[in-house]
Amino acid sequence: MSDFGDLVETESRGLVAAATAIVGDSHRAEEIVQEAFERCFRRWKRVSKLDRPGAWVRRVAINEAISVHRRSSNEIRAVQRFGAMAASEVSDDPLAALDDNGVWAAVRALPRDQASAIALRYGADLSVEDIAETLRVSLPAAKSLLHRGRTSLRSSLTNQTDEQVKADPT
Amino acid sequence: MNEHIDPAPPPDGDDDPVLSAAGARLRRRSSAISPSAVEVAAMRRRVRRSGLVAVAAVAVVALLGGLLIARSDGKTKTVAANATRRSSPAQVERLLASLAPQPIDPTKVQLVSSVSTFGDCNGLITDLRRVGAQHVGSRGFGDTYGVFNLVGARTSSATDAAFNSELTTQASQPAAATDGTTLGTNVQVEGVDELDHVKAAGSLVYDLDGKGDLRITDTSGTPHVVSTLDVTPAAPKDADDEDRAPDPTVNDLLVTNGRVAIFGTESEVSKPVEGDPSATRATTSFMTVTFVDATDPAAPKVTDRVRVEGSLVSARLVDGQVRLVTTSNMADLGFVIPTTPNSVPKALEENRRSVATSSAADWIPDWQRKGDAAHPLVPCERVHVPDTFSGVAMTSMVTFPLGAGRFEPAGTAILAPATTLYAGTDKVAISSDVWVDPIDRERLKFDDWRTAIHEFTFADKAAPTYEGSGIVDGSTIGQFAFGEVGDSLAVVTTKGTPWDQQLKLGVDLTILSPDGKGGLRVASKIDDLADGKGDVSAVRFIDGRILISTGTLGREVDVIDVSKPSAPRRAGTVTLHSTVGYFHPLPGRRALVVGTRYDTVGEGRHEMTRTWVRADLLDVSNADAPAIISTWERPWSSDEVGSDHHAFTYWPQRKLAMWGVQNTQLGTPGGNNATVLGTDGQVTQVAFPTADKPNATPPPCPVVQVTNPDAKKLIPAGGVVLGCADKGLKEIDWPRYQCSLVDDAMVAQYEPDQAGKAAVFLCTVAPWPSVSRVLVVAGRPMLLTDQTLEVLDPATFRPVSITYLPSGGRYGPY
Repeated sequence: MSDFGDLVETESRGLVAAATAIVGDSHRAEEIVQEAFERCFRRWKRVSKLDRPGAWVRRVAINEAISVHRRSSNEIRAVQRFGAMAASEVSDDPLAALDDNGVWAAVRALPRDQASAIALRYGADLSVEDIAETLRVSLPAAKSLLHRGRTSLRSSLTNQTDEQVKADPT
Repeated sequence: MNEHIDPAPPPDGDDDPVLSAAGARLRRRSSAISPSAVEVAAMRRRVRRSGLVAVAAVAVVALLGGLLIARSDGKTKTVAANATRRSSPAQVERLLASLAPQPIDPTKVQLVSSVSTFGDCNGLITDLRRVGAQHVGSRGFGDTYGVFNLVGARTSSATDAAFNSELTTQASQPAAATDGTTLGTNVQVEGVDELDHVKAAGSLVYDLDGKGDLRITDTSGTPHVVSTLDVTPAAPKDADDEDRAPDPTVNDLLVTNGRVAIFGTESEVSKPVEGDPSATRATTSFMTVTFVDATDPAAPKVTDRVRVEGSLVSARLVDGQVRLVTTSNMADLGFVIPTTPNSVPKALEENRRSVATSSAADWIPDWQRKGDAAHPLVPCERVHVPDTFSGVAMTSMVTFPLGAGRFEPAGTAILAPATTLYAGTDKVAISSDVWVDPIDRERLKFDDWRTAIHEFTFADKAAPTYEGSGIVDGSTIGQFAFGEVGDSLAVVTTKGTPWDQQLKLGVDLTILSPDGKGGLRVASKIDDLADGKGDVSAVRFIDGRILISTGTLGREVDVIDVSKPSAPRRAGTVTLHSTVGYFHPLPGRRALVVGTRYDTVGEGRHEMTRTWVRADLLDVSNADAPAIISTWERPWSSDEVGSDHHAFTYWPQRKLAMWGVQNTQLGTPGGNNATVLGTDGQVTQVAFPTADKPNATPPPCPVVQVTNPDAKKLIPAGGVVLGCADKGLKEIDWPRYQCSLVDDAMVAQYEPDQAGKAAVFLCTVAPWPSVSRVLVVAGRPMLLTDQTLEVLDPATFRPVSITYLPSGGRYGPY
């Protein structure tokens, strides 16, 4: 198998997962990732010379996923709904009260850079170093994005719950 | 105020069990991407963009051209405008609504042989949209790579009629006067010239030097080059651009009355699509035709140059008219392929919509003069569409006068692939099958597969005419599918589909004759030509005989007597002693069979394979008792006749067969040769002239005495280093040497004294010249080699003169 084939087989599943986390549609995510690999394939002569071709294709895919995804009012309403669900559950961690759809909807509601970092860390199961490489940020910056993302996730759910409580004091 | 619910503190580090678990589940649900799917999709997208670029170009150019042409030729304007006209949204929706949920099931299609033509582009495109949309699948029309790979190369599976019955014409030519004869390199049919990289006319030799030049050599007296004309405009150079188009090439030429047509290839790489970060570019390939007026051989000039979408299949020159067959696949309309099972319906809808919105210009190749409008190669009215859809490849048959010095084509086309195509002097036969998406070919089973055969005829200066169609059982066998038997067309088929041929079940011969009603009827048939032996390696058509080569090496030859086409019969069998490279028919139903055989010499570590070039004189006058009546062979030799029959020259007036032979015995003195064989009654060696080295001359630049010990090690034995004062020189010619420019950095490293002062060349001893063609010019035989043109004495074949005539590239020394 060619190096390119190895790259696709090694990276594609995690990347599809990360893209799904960002765009919320697995079919669209597959298309985005496939297109990223197509671009990679067409420029393989150059990309293969990079130290980390995987970072290149991840960057293309994540950028595309982010640009495709627009937080719509539906998305915001979904987060509100999931926030309400979280509030109704007895849990110390509001995120734990959500099902997977709720978790990823909450991720999509994050600022883009945080959502990308979370999607790459937990969707693609990448190391912090790989995330830094992919997002072209320093290692501390990648750690900070992850930390702020996790914090924002929970605080957003909590805030949504607060809003719900305010709106419905009963 | 309500009590604030504090969120759980973030987990330490990046360990988040909730997200980690959700991520793990997401990965399990996610599909991996197939590398092959990526590669296929990338290629398709490349092709698609190419199509879009072409369509856009056609549309724009046709629009501009329409305005220009309208002043001079209203009819042409109408055709061009019609060709690019697209359907209205309402028409598209109506067509899409009329389609069945799934593409037509090819197993339920009944093949019919008829074809349709249409009165105008509207009629044509309406039909193409309808049948195309009915057949297109969720992956478009499947494989497009085969067609695009054809660019720059003639279709290997197309039957070259020079191997077949046309040869009989020449075999029966009466002997002409010997003196003053000039033979081109193709003497198979009197008055019919084929493409080659060298031509002779009168006392002039026209050749392509492999460096993009047309070279004209006057051979009266001692040959000398009278002119060299660059006929290959260089592609724009950008050293940093990895995606730049490959350089144009010129490969073949035709000559008549001082007018030359040169055939080549070129590619166009589009600009990156705006907004695409991958900066993908599309490559579109063309064949080119360059016209040169060489009526004054010393001052030839290019009079026209056009490019034609698609690739060259065959070209011949008959009575000053070029007869050209091209293939193209212009109907890739931006098809998509599904990436997941769920996206199949969407992809099918997209592809149907692409077909439904296509224009005639998407299907018909065009030709274009630089800076001018694009024109359809064939008018819509002359596009023939098989009534059973056979895919989207278009085969175009075009004729134009060479003497006009401009491309003025008259063409006819059929929407059928040129994969099994016969291009004779006058006749062109093309097969078409029921269209089956390549993706389904392994899965679907077809009983009683049949093939439609369509016949066209070139005549005079008009566009080729459609003669009729017929149907044969089974599928045609690639390269040797067709031949002419009298006025009839012989077709060799086997059971099964083209992609699953059942040779072991029998190879059949069907003879189709005009039925008088515009069709072709089965006049006669022989089943199982190979008599149960299966593998057929070649079929040759020779003056009332068909020779069927069977067996692994094709040495068993069965003779079919077709002297009465309505009643062909099996006759005798003969065993050849070599692997056949070329059959050349001779008068009296004989053929010279040029082939190769191998044996081993030596033992143990010294065992070596020895190659022989062999020529057998085969007599099939008595079809029941074919016999080899004479043989010539030469050890430690090889030739190129098998791969390029133009390397073989027959001098009919003297009944001599001549071709180049290479010495394969390493370490032996002496060079390469040509063999000259008499074929009158027996095969006899008349001469075996050696291709001599060019005459030695002083070096064209001063010799550099290399002193650096490391540099000396880099110079092969006999090598010489030259320093030329002209620093801009990129190449130099020096008889008996091959010189290459030494990199400036290397010069600076090893010979700093020369650095910046001279262009330094390393010249190594050239190999022995190798004969590529044996010419007869004004009655004198000549050896054209990669380095020389050597004139031989017509009586003794001894050398008379040697002219240094170096070629490069594909025609240069090995």
